[in-house]
Amino acid sequence: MTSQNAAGNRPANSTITIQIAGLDLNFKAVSIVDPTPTGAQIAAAAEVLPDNDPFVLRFLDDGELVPILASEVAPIDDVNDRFVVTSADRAFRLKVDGEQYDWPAQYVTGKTVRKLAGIANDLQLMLSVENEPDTVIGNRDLVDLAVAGVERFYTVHETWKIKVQDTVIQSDLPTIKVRDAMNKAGFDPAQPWHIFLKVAGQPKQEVGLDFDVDLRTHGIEKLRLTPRDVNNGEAGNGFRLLGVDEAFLAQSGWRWRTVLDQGRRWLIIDDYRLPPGFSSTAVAMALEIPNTYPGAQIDMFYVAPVLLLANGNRIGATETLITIGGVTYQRWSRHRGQASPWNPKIDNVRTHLTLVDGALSREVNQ
Amino acid sequence: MILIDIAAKWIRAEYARWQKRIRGLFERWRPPFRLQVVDGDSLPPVVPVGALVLARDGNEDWCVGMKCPCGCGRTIELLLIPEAKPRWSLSLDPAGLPSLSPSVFLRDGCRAHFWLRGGRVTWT
Repeated sequence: MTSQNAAGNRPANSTITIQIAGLDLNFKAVSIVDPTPTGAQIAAAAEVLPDNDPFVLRFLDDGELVPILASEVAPIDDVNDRFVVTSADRAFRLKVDGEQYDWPAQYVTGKTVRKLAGIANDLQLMLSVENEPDTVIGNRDLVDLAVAGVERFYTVHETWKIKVQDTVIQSDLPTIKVRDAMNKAGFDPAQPWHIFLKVAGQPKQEVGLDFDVDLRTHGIEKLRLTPRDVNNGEAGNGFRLLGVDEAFLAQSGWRWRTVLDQGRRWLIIDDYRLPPGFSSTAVAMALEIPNTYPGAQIDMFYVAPVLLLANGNRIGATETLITIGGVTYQRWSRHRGQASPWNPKIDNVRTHLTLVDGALSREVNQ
Repeated sequence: MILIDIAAKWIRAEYARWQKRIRGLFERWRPPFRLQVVDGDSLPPVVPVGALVLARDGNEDWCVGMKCPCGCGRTIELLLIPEAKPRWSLSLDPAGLPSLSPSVFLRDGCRAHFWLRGGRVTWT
């Protein structure tokens, strides 16, 4: 009734604007020179001729489609009132999540059903099919509504699955952090783990807790967890170096170890002999091994205790002090020159130590 | 005071030596670890005592598992895949007895440190 009042309040021959769409539900503003148009007038505004069985439906905000007869005055409240106009002699009934809709065409696409029922993007549209598994209806899929019975659509949350060890977990989002997946599966991410991501047909990949697993990846299988509670007896307590480095250090006779300190990786040689002329005869020598070594270079070197020249003079570019495992180290800011850039194929701990020895000798031979 | 320190050191060293000797004697009586292969990339929920269980996924050896030979009851899992660090390699002698390389060193708990060679445990 409010609609008639609203229409009645308008001046007699003013123009009104409504939204009209065809079966694509792409609404466009159309003006009609009559504040109280009939179904036939709306059909004419949509350029569907009377001979073509115009079918006018009022599209309510909740998605309901209400047929308007040709002679019937359409209740119009607002410029945003929407009408679907097509040519058809009957409507086909479908249901989405229990709500009934009468659609004026034999075929409907998944996209149209979504628009009609106002389905959120993160929901998946399903069609229940008798005696068969229900099918996922994509936006471009056509559903024939002339098949006997009411077509029943329903929506489900899209879920994504991955195995964590032997537990299958589900995620509402298509990506999940390794940490969250482990929590869901009941593994404690605070414990140290080896974590490998297995994808069929791809090399397995070691991943960290903050790695985003894309569950849409084809062939995604599982996160394979192994407690990181065992050392291999030869590797010290930090991390493994390259095979060539471990071999070199093994035959060097040095006491050496690898240390992880606040995310930085250090090789420490405990009894590194110095050429004469320094305040100490031997130091603990630390080299920072970048995570991406040997792609990334070893740069500079660090010694403990802090060195002076034997005569008490300070050494240039060694002012910065850092701590590794609670011990203070003196940073020697010595870098590769333009002439001898780091080469990942050739350079390693041994070649870097030759530069270290060179830098140490230069200080005492001047 | 210095004498007490020296005595304490000596007692500790003797204790460790005897412990090693007793463990060594025990290892002679223990039947050797034998290899059991399971399908898949993971160990079964229960690893039998005295078995070295190999998880073989297709033609890829993922890991081996064994009960800690110290008797603490813990299951030790060691990765064999080349991508892992640390990783171990498994070999079998003609009698089918397994060896692992390098040694196994538990970071916590019993802190067992041993070699498995020819199915037998050598404590370090």
